[in-house]
Amino acid sequence: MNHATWPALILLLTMSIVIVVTVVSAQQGKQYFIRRIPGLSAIDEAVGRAVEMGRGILLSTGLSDGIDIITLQALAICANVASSAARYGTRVQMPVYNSAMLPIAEDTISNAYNQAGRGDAYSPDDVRYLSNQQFAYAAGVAGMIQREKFAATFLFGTFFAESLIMAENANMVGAIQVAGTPSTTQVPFFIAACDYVIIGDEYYAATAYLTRQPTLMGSIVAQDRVKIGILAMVVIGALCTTFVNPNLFKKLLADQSYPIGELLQNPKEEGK
Amino acid sequence: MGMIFVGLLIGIAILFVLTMVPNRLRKPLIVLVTFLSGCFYAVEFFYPTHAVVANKQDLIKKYGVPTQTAPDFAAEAQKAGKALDPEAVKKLQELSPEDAQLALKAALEVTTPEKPFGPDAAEKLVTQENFLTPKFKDVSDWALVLQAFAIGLGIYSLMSVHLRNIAMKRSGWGNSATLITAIFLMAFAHIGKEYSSKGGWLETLDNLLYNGLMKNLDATMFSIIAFYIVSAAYRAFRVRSVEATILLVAAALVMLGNVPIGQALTNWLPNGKTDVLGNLRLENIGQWILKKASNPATMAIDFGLAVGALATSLRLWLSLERGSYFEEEL
Repeated sequence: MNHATWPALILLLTMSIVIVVTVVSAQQGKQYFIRRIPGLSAIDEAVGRAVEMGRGILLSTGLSDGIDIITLQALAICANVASSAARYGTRVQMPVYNSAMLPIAEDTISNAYNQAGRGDAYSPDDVRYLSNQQFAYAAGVAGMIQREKFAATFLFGTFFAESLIMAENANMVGAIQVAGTPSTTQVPFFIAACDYVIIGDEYYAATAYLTRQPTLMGSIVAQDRVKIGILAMVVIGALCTTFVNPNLFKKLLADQSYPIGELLQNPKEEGK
Repeated sequence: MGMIFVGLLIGIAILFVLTMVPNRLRKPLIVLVTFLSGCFYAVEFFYPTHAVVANKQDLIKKYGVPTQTAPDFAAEAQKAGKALDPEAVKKLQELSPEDAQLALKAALEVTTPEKPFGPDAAEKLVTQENFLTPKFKDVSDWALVLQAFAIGLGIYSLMSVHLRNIAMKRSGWGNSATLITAIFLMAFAHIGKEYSSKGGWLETLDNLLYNGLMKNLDATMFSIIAFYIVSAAYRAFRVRSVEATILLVAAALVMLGNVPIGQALTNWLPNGKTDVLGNLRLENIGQWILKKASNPATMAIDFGLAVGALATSLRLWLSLERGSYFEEEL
């Protein structure tokens, strides 16, 4: 079982305070700006293309055994896509891997239709459970893609080996594909197979970019501030490790009770 | 069995009560439950810990209930004719007297002249916990139980979609019929196997369906990926832009560096530690790309992802998002 050391506690608390303060300030009216992200702009392009072609859109939140942050974020992105699609009268279909996600996905997509003022267009068949077996799910999604000839596919969430099966089948039917995953091992496959890929923390920036809600904008700005802090720590750590004591941070972060003064006083001994 | 039934009834009763909660109270209730649930994990992670012996209950079963006296490690080891590493002993001395006794017995049992008890072995024997850690598994089990309620929803969704397909004779309704037949057949064979005699026809049927059909279909789908990799790689590696060219060159170097024929191309170059030319061997270039270019970039992405996950988690835990989740902000 992992537990926080004192440095981890201080670091996490500081990061959390920065995030919460920035989010609250955004909620209170402070204006923030986030730059254009090409992958996220492509979401509107893909929806537009589906509307023009009069074909449907496939949404997938990937494979996740539980209800986790990655899947909830994927669902938030899918809700925005569904809302845009519903506004223009395009059908979206979402096959679900985890049965626990099914009611949440149904509720979210039906809310998205309602927000677009097209609640009547939502069909319960559009969000459906397929299988909780990796390749059975992939085969099911591939079958849907081949039958429905989707104009656009959105693959967001946790993906494993099945990502290529879905992406390549979508490519076969000429769908424009936007994918995003925090799994760094799957990003290369998506880059090879999809038209647009959202990588790294762009994944968490997607909803802010799409909705421009103050809370989410504040959250993105807070993330950038925290990253600047981490970058500064990396630079300071590299300089200290090089010029003060090679083991300074290793000891400090590993052992919560190690006296930092002792390390600074005996650099040579510790640096052996 | 009785307890499971009672638990199920209580769960259903709680779900029923929750459906009766007025709309105006639902959001505050969700906020409160989310916050308290998150609090458990946050406090468990951040609260200071103390050293305890790992798998304490198993050790008590094996060695009996320990006394309150702190053991004399050196004397006990000498009595057993075994030597304990001083660093490992230092680690075991962090334990309470009872835990230390159990750990010492376990340490002496695994120590042999060929395999002395060192700091690594002590690390495995000692774990850190606080007052909430023993409850961690119970709380995680609650989450599993809540998810288990959703299993039926998945089957219901699948059945309703495909039964409608069959009833309305939509195109491909035969596939839906096959799916439903397969579900019932598999369930019948698997559940039936549990209640029939060993080696009976139900076990054979289950074996045929699961090991003979399902596993092979799974393997088939997996093997198809090899072909998809080729077609995706072909499209990605076409020289269309500067980025695609860099990708192509880097991929070619890494691939050549990892296959014998690629390594053979540059094996005439010296490979000593002081040979500068050795850096130009394909396997070294490939490893350099992976370790010095790809790994740092991946780590940087991971940093961003971790911060993004923290921010999203905080927003959800503290219910900072206005309106319900994903709802339009007011």
